[in-house]
Amino acid sequence: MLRDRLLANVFTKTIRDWLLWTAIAVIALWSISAMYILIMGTSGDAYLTMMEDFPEALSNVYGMNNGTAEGLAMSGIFFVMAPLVLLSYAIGLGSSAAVGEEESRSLPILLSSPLRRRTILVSKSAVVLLGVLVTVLLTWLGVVSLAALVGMDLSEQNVTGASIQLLGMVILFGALSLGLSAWRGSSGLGIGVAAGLAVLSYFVTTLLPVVEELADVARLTPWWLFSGADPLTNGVDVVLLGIALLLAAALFGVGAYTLDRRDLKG
Amino acid sequence: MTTINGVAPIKTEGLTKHYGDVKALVDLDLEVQEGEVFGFLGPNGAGKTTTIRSLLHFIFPTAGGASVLGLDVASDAVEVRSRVAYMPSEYSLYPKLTGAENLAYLANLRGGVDNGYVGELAERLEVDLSRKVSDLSTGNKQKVGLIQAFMNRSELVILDEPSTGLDPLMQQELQQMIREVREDGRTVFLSSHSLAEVERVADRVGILRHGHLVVVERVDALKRKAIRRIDLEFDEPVEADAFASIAGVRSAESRGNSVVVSFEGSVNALLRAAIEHNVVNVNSREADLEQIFLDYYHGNGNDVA
Repeated sequence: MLRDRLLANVFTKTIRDWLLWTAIAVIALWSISAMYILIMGTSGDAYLTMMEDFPEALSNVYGMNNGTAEGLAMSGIFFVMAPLVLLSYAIGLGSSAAVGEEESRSLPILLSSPLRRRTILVSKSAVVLLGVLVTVLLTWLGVVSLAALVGMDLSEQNVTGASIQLLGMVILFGALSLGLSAWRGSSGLGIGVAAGLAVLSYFVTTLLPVVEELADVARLTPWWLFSGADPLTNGVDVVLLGIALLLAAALFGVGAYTLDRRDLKG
Repeated sequence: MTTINGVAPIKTEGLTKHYGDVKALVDLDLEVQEGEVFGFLGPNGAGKTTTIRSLLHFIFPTAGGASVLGLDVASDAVEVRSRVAYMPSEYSLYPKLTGAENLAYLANLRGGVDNGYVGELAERLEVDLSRKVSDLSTGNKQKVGLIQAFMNRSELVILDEPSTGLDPLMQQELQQMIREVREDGRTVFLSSHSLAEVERVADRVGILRHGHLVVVERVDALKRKAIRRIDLEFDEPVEADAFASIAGVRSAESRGNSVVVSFEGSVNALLRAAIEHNVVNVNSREADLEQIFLDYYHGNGNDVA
């Protein structure tokens, strides 16, 4: 039986454990995407008219994009809702990969097996990474398929570019949560800092550019690595994506290093 | 000393662990012999679990070091754990998995175990492995934990407070399982705060107090050292001072026509002093190992570490 076979090692068991969370994330994103595509497909022009009177800052927060109904739908999905769902997923499970077993007190039993701490961390982190990849892929697939189904023209929207750029930022925040949690042995620290920084950087990136003098500050936030080059219009910015992935790798490295060198709790 | 290829199953040298200002373990020198059941006794917070967690490299010592089966616990941690079975004092199994699934997972991580033996252990401990762990009572969860420790037939079995939550019958079964490990030539390191638990199966005991090892002794030798009590009843009141100065007497107290004497060693001198009076009755009590244990706990024993 497949479920029993998934008990073969830490990697496969973690897939089994977190399959439900991945399914929830995918279904949530499909539902949200369907809502955006259907509403904007039928009433997009009315929304655009309404939003013409919005202050620029408010339009930015809502993710308004290039003045088309399709752009409004895609930016709502990829700049607002998909980051919300994917960051929750990656930050929560990133922390759990680092200290979930330690906090639930199953680690002593698990580590009575001949496993390195790092093996457990790498196995679980790989599942988070795989989960994020699968969720983004399925979201992209869902968006493209549904848009085609309802006849929404996405030729002006670089959905693939936005998906890939979003992936980089989600991995970065997941790694931040993982690294901090592994370092201190506390999920609270990892989740709190990563989620707080995500919210803060979102608002800094969307609101500050309205004020000319402060516009450059937005470039210092992690969110800029995703939205700074407007991937929905311009496609993937390889430099920003590379920076996000390098930072993520460094944070993972710090987490793995410190986890190997601290006392385990419990 | 009996060892595996000249190395002790467990050996610590100056093992020390501080948590800030708290000295959880101080300069522990300990050597466990192959094929013995070693009882590691001490009250809660004495440093027993800290010792075990150091041996398994879950925590880093402040000073000193340790080897298990001749392997350095820090640099060879993974190999140590491949040859050691461990049951922690506080742990959680995976609640959404059944007992059998928990054991299958842990067995897979070790490259598999004899499933027939797992079934045999489950039968002996009377636990239903088909139920989800979240549905099991504390005692039954403990039994699943015990099975995972015994199913590997490891060279060294480390048990930390293993009888917690077990009823008396199951405690007896556990003691039998521990004896079988010893009969098989393997070694058991049994940590407990209960002397009664350890006394029944251990060959030697080490007593830990406030992080210090205060004594390592064979259980039978410890019993010989036990302070015994004797009630001497006379036909009239007798001064306790008449006995207090006799060699081996720890204390003497008059109670009406009786004198209650606590002593260690030979009873001859005490009886000779008693028959100088008119003895009506003599009532001797069993050696009280519990008292020795408490004496060491409270710092009244002779530190021989």
